[in-house]
Amino acid sequence: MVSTDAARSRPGRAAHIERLRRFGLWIVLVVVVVVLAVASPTFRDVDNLLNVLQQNSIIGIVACGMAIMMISGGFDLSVGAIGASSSVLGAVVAQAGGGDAAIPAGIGIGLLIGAINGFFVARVRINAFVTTFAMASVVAGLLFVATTAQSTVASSPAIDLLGAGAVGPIPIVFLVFVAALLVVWLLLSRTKFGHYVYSVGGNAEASRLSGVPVQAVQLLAFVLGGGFAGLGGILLLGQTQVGQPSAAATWPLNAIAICVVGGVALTGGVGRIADVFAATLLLGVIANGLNQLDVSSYWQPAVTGVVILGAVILDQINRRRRSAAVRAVDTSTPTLAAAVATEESGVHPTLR
Amino acid sequence: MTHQRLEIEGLCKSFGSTPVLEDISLSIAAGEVRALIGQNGAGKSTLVKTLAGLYPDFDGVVRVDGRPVLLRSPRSARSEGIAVIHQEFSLVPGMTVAENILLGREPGRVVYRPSRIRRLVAELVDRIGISVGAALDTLVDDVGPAIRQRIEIVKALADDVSLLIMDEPTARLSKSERAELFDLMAELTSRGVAIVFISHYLDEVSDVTDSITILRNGRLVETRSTADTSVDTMASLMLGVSFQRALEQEEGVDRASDDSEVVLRAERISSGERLHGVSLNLRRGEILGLAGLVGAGRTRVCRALTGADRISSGALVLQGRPVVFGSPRAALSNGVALIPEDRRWEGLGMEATIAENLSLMALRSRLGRFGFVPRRRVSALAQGLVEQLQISPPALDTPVGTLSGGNQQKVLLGKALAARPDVLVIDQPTAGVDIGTKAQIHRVLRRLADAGTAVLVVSDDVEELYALSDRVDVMVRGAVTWSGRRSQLDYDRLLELISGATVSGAKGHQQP
Repeated sequence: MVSTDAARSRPGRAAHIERLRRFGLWIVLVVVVVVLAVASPTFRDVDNLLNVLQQNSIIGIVACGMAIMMISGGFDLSVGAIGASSSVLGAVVAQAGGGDAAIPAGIGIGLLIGAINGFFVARVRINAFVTTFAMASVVAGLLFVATTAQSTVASSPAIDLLGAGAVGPIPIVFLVFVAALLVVWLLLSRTKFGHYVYSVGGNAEASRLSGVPVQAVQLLAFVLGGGFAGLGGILLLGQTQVGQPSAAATWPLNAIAICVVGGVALTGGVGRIADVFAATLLLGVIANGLNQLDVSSYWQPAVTGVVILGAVILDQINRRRRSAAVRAVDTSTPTLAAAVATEESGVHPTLR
Repeated sequence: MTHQRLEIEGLCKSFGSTPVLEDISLSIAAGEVRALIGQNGAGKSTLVKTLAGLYPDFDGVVRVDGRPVLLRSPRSARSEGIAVIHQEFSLVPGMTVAENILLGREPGRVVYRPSRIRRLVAELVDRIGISVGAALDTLVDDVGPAIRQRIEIVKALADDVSLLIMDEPTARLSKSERAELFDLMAELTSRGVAIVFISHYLDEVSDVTDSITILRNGRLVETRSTADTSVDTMASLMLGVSFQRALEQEEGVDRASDDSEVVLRAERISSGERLHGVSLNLRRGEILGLAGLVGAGRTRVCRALTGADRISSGALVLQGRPVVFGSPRAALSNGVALIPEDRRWEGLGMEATIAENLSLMALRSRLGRFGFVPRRRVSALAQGLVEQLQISPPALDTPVGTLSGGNQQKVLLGKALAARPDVLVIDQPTAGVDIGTKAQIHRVLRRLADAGTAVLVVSDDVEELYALSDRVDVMVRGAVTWSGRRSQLDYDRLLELISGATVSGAKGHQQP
């Protein structure tokens, strides 16, 4: 058993580590922004900062959906294909004179593909990697066939406004991102569904035994993930005015990277949406900062990779420290178990 | 007539074409504690899972409080008043005590409010008058097994419960925690709840239950009153009585000799929560049987001896010098090999061929040359083993996953033989193996010992253990409680020792 002094300081340490985990990413973000602002006059330019928001909101929205899927224990490699389908379908609908009906069409195709993914993962119980990897391939292939790999140049006023408009200085797409964050935050922390997303990701078998509708929860997580990717596709159309079947190929890994940096566990059950917000901004700021510092764009993937590894390693260290602190607390506080342990050492059998 | 909480009539359940439960009929009255006992594979857990709603495709009738019920899902079983505390705690890590207690039964349709959950659980705990023993907003990751057990119980009682099934509830509890659990059970039965109590500890069964149902090979052997049943009777009903004859064949041969060299000695080793200062000696040319119930720590001993688990205190002495095995690889290069219990996950590569599996352990020590593996030597080695063990089919390139259980077990054994170990530790050598193969495996182990190998055998099959061993060590709850020559024991005595029943007039010597 640890000495009483050490034991007394441990709960404090655990709380300290908990605080660090809660605000750590935001602190890192502030530090990075300050350093870049000092180092680069073009970076600290307000237009540039607004540009960062404009450029990273779409992937942030996709990451919102990805976070739900990852917390529930899955993930989706087809969000890029969904985004491309959504923007192409949106453009086609707009071109055909459908106008703003392009928006529900794009989101709808996302929900549909998400539902198919969810069906295979939750119901047929195919692993999420295989399902969504195959789905990405199928959807992208169909998209190229349907469009003969041609882009469709078309949009609608509402889509343009969402993708490229601004309220005062603030890009509307960023406001959509904030709205998505709020919706997901409400969903995860204030609804039964959200509670079950955590419980299914934490221990699916225990949840099933407790009567949680595990399959429905997983299905809905994928539907929502697809929906957010579909919304992302429409916003992309608004920014580019063109529905391109080859667009959004980098979304899946970028969205997963954001979630991982934001502390969402690939094994499920853990993750906070506020940190997904911070991680989106952090990765965006770093990419933009490197640009402003005239670092070759070839360096960017390497730097992003180092950030991801760093985040994961820090998280792992934190977790280990925390569980060590918890163990120390466990043996030093007079709980029922400890009271029992002094009376009879552990689970020792009595020899008779 | 008293009110029957649970009635089962003609319950059958099979997996594919293999029947696992055949024609089970029983009834349990309000306030009764019913023990369910049987060996591994007797069908206890299938019965529990059926009642928990996990196997909806059973045949037969189940009635709760006189109502026929369907048990289509865990949720439907719960709503019929059947609550199950599974052997593995069904708690979600990262969630609080309160969230776990109400998991799956949160109020409202859509909205979830943590503060409300907490208040409801506090009310619930007040109403049922059972304290959880931890603050409701602690994470379940931060509480010990006794508290987890209480959380499970409170969780089970969140709905109105007619029948509470407890699968091995005491396995992870200390003595006084067990006493508290038994008090709690008495409290529940006084409210009319019927309890099904499953335990391998027959002395516990004897202490806390009113009646006992014995299962063997998927069939119900008998239901009888606990008061009329001694621990020995329970054991022989569980194990069957066929052992007597088989044993006598080996009787009278005593190979154990105190002159035999001790090859591997464990000195008061501890590991994890389940092993407390175990000492034992493996002697050249002898088979040591390690007897005990499930959860007694036998597999732990096997793993600790062979570098699969770290030892937290104590020492291993191999041929006179202290050794530390950091990995199974280190143990193997010192001539100590383990054949693990679980051939599917720990023992064999199911997709790999017979030859690949057989040669794996010998690759480094005997076959390899500067990291290259000559294929001819691999097939020569494998061919020899296939013939020696009569593995069927004898084609070396057959994937092991396609073999029968018995032949898989032979490959597993052959793999360890190929490494020519000085010490062989084998956990459940004949689990799920037919009688012919079993006898063959016994002969191989005996020949191996005669050739000078020190062998440690762990088996749930007490008959097998008794027939095979030169010496026997008995483990109860993580410690060796009896150690001596097989010839000092008769079978009944061994059963008594295993069940941890009161030791009277010990013929062997008890370890401190």
